[in-house]
Amino acid sequence: MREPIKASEGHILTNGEIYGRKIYLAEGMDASSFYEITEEEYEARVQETEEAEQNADNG
Amino acid sequence: MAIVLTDDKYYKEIAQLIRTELKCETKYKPSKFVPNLLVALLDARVAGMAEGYEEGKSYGVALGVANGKQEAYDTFWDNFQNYGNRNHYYYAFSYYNFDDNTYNPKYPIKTGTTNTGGQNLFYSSHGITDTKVDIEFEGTANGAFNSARKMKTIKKMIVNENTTFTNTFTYAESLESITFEGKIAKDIDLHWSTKLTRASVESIISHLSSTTSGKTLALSEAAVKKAYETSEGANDGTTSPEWIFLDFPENWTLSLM
Repeated sequence: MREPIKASEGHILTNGEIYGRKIYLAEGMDASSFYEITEEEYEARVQETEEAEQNADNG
Repeated sequence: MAIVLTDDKYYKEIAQLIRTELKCETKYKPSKFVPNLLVALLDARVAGMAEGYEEGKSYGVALGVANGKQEAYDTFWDNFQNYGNRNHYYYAFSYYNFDDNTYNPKYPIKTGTTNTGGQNLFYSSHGITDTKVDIEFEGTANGAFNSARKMKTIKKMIVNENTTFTNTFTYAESLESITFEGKIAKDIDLHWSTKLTRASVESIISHLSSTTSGKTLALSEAAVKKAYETSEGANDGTTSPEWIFLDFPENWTLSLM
């Protein structure tokens, strides 16, 4: 079984596209491309994506 | 030819038959037997007619109401779903438009291949907890269950390799049961659904495409740990220290939140 990469307490791992606290990378993926953001930053990004989707809808 | 009954025993037998039939204890004098018999029979007939009328009326009303309700149901859903041919359901069951009492589709839901066919299908639904029918997403499933915070059961989600899942399950926090059919070949994120059953987790994994690459499945770590308890079926609240995913595809990234 693959070993996961793990975020530290209160943080989320991301490579800009994938987000997670514990991530099992697919074959060929590079763990070094991942970095940590805070949970607050993550929530803000989710909100931002959500608003962008709704604006695109209403537009 | 008429038969004349001269023996009392015949009158007594007839009287007893009448008493049995009418469930009464009325005594009949032989001298007044015939008129009393006629009155008794007439009363019985009238009573029977009244009872039959009431029974029939009550049944008729109930039948009429039931038929009326069925006709109203058929009329609405035949038109709303175009006799099963509708394929554009953009925001169709969103917000307060329907609840569990009013949402009762007659036909499976089949969204088309347009950009918006299945988009935001149950977006921010406030009152629907069960999809009740199969839903096929031929194109996009973007936002389909976004913010449907009361949705517990997605009966069946039929997807293909072109179906997209952007924000499909964002804030779907009550979701417990979901069954897939087809192939999941795009990024899919169910990490808000912390109550997913093990059967649901297995359904998701078993329908991941084995030929796609660079895609991610995101799940709730709490849901997965609970679903794969250390003592299967123990229902004692213990969670596995490390969940076990059987045959998780190597071509997929799994993210736990």
